[in-house]
Amino acid sequence: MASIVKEFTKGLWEEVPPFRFVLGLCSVLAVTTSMSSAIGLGGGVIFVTVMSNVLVSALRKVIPDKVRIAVFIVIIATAVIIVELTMQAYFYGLYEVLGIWIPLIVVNCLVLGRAEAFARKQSVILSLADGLGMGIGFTLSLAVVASIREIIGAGTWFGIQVMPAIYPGFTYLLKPPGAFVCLGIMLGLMNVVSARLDAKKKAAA
Amino acid sequence: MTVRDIINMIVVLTVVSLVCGGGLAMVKMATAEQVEYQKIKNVKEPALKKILSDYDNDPVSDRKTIITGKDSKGKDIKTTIFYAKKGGKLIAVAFEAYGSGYGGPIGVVMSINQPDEVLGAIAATTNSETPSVGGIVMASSELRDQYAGKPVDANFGLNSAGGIINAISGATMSSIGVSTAVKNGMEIYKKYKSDILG
Repeated sequence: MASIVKEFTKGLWEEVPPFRFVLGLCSVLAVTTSMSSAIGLGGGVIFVTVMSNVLVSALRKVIPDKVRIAVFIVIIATAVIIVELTMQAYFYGLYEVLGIWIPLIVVNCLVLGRAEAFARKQSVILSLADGLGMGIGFTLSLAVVASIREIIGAGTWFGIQVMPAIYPGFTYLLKPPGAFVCLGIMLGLMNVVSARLDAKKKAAA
Repeated sequence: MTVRDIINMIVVLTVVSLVCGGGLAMVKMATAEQVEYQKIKNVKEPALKKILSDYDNDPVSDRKTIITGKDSKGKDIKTTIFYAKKGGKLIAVAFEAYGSGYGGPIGVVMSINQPDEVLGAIAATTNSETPSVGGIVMASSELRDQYAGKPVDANFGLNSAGGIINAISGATMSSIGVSTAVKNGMEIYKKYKSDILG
């Protein structure tokens, strides 16, 4: 039980994918202009990491090593297309906004990375926890970057005005360079906080 | 690598792909109707709202697709008819027809009021006209207003060709495009009336 919790929570802080491994950055940079698109893509990624981790783990004993990447990709692509069709059917507005980024989840290194590095060696339950944790960690990271960009950039959050009406907006943050700046600041902050925590742990020990 | 290994690889990859493909086919079938509804709702409804008024149903749900002739490859041409109702009574039907303009095909949605069979309103949907010339025709009411309230068997040609429509000067091609689209639409309506209203 303890190990399940550990596998789940590591995705939220210790190994939070975009910031620690700098994985899946294209979509982090592209969809974080607004909260709704960030959460939409995040939800898709959660589903895909969970489904691919569970299936890869369940099939780990029958998949021959030499064709494993091909099998993983087939499984991941299937999950992504399910997400795409579901979004098209029930969240059409979101589907229009996210566009090409939904099919591109297939090549998000995060998903294949978890299948290759974790799920193919671990039990189904642990893989499920790992996939869920990593997916949620990814979504939270998107949400943090998107919040900064949307609130400071456009003065809104989830499309609702949160800044005073006279706030002129800071469109630089909504453009691609603004995404890099936000991400860089986030990476820096994460490292500072981690270093502090480590120092405390050491002092305590 | 033994033959056994190779066969094992082939079998696993094939089975995984087959199962995934089958699963996806099922998801596709399960969502097909909803996806089509969403597409029409998001793409066509804005135009439908412009031409239909005073209805209390959802014309996107109350739609029917009929076959209206064949194209040059022998494939069926399908036209989707939208029904506007009020209190359960049909007040208008709407559908899209095409004509060719200066920059390519022009799509026009039109509504025909029921039961008196006069043209309710028209609105351009897809077109690739030059925005500063033909595009203005698409957006202005000058051409559009000439259609409202005309009976379905009026001659919708331009008046230079003996019809009742005045072309917008400077954008004759676009005017012709709209007018042929409407004419084609009326042909479809008259020819397939029993299918449409049936």
